[in-house]
Amino acid sequence: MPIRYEQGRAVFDAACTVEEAVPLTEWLEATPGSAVDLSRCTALHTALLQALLAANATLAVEPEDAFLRRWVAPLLGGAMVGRQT
Amino acid sequence: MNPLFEQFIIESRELLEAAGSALLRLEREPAEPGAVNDLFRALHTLKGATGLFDMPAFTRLVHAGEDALMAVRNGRLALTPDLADVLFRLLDQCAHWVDRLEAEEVMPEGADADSRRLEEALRTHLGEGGASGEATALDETFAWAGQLTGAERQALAAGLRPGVALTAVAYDPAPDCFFTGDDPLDFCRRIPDLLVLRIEPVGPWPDLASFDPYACALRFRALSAAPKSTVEAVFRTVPDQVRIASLPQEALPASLRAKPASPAPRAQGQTMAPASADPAALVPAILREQVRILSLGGSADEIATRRASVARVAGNILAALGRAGEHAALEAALAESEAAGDSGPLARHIAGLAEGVSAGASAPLRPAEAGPDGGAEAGTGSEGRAGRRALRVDPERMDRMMALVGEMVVAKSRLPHLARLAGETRGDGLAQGIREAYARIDGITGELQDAVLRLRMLPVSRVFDPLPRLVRELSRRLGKPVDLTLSGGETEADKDILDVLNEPLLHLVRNSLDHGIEPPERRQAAGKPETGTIRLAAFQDRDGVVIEIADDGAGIDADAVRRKAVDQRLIEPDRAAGLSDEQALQLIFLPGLSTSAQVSELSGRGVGMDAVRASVEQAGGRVEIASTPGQGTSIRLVLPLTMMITRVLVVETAGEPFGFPVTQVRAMRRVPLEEIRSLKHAESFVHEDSVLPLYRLRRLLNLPGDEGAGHRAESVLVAELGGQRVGLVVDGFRERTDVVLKPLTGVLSRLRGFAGTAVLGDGRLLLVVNLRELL
Repeated sequence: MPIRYEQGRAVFDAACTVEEAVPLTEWLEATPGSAVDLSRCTALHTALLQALLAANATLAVEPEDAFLRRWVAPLLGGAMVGRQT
Repeated sequence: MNPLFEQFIIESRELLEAAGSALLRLEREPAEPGAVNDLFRALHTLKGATGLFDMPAFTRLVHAGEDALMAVRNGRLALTPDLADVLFRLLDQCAHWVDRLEAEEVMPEGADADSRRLEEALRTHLGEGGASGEATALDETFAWAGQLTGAERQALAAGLRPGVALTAVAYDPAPDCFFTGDDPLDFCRRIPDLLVLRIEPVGPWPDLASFDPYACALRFRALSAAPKSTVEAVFRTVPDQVRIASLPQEALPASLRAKPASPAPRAQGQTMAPASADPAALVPAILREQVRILSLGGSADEIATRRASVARVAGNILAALGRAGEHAALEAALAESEAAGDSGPLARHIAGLAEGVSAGASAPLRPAEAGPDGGAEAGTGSEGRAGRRALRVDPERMDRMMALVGEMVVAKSRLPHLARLAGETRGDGLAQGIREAYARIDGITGELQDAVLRLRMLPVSRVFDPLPRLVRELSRRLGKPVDLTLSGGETEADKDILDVLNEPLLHLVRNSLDHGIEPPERRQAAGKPETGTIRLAAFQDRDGVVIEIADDGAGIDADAVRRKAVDQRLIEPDRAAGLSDEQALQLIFLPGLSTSAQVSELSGRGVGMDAVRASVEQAGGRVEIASTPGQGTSIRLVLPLTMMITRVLVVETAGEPFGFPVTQVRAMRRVPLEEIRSLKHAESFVHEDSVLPLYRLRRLLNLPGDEGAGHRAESVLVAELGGQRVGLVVDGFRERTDVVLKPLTGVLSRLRGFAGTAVLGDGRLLLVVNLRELL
């Protein structure tokens, strides 16, 4: 399972693909104020990222992957960093 | 189709039409500045409109056309016949796309390739006149780069190498890109030497419940230090969704240029310019782009959203320029715009900022767009555009307006009563005052009604337009040369009436050609010119709009009609013999006569004539026919100007007013009692040498009383019903008046004999009679 759903938190592991988009969106919808753990995530599909952004999910644990940490993590901060358009 | 998209289809057709005629003008008179401006404006607006939807190929192509025109406008490029060809092709291509978009709501396959081919052709022309296309494309791709955050600036500055161009990427993934296996974020991960990456939602996030996880809602903006070709390789599978441009460092804000490459003396000796340095040359361009965004159309919500985001961008720019103190003025302009629901104040404020900044900055990037031109357009653009655009209104709303005017007529009719009352009870000028007010309100109401009706009016040419093609084809097929003349196409009639006219007209013209006009040899033998003539004329007369279809063909033989009707048992032989020729002609309107195939003598006009009459009568009109054997036939369709308003003749019977549509009324007569012949219960009288049956409205409607006592003549209304004339005894004639006819509803709807009700000027209820149902 690339994404493990714990209480109020989704834990992403390794490469998370577009197949996870629907279950993730459903979980986000059912879990207001949800947080994500991206520490072990190595690839995050665009569909998953936009679901997290749409749900305004916060980042619980920073990703180790350099690309994700630099470009994606700031979008998910509890603060609105980088979400201006 | 959503309303915004529908609006886009209509608007883009208008714009393309305007562009087409401007291009023709431009080609004829290349020196005329008006034409190139009109053309440019049309394309510019079109580009803005396409930008609201996901159709990058469309937007790109229009943009390319705009670039070429800008070069023409600036005198950098001459409008050669070749270039005009390409532009015409561009307009054709866009028109084709609009057609397809209307039918399928998505751009056709291959649109991207089509667009690129034309863009290429335009660039070839631009190549001769300078690389302006590249420059403006760059500007657009790069506009966002002027708003880099401090962290992004630092990242950029750290990664820049002297003399090396940057590569800017604007990647707008197609919404369905996940289905083709694309992962846009993964593409971005593969951009080499990535210095800046922005991941932005395309629009505001919807509710999670309505969020479609499979539709890509993100877009990406990136700057890379890698060469353009390397970056392009990453996106080679999605060339239609990405714009990649090489960006010379000179195009960057001075603060971001790597040191030795910067020509700015102030950068000398500094390794890295501070982030808060000089105003960027891009700022005016970005601000002007914001002004343009404000001028885009859309729903009130969209426009409000755009205002907010534009204000945010402008605020960020002020902050970046170290002019955060001016933020309050910006906020005030935004508030003013919000309150007025009009982007004007904000647009003017931002245009003012752009002016101020560009005055103090080094060369602005797009000199062609700088100056008062951009500002003026922002200030007046919204009104100017609104004037050009045709307004589309729901018919229901118009009906509602019409109904309200009707209510107003009823409401105002209380005033004369009040005036009378005031006159009886008091001696001051109140009564006179009320009467004057009434006269004024009456006038305004009349004009209002007229104005509302006029909204629905269209020229008759709408139904004339398809006829020349029809005649041309039929005349070739039948081997009968025919001249068709149309006149009065500018006559106006209600859209509903024109819709009714469409079919009957086609039918009548076809009949004329098929059966009226003789073959050339027979015409010659009859001493007529070989070429037949069909004349259509439209005009207005007292009763409404009249359309006449006349031919100089063989005419209709009344005897043949009589025989035919008798053969088909549609009429008794002795009655047929008693009919005048004129009356016999009316028989062709009988249903059934039409089915005959051998009525060549009567020009076969029976075909569907009953259908013609039915639809015309349904619209409240009538059909008249006149024919002279050997000389031709003329058919008149008389229709009311509108179906909203019915012109009625008011008669009085048993103390109540009743209305008859004037299109059915042929005459009003006083018939002396001794001229009324009575045979058992059936009465008749002679009118214009014909014996007409006489009915009594009082009896038809089961009204009490007797009209016969004490007078020597009857008031007789002569009505015509599908060629049959009848007389109707009423108590008295009143005025002709226009009424808004309301159909009977509820329990009344089962009442036979009435077309509907209307309220008279004096507030009384008028029943409008449907004579056909009554007899």
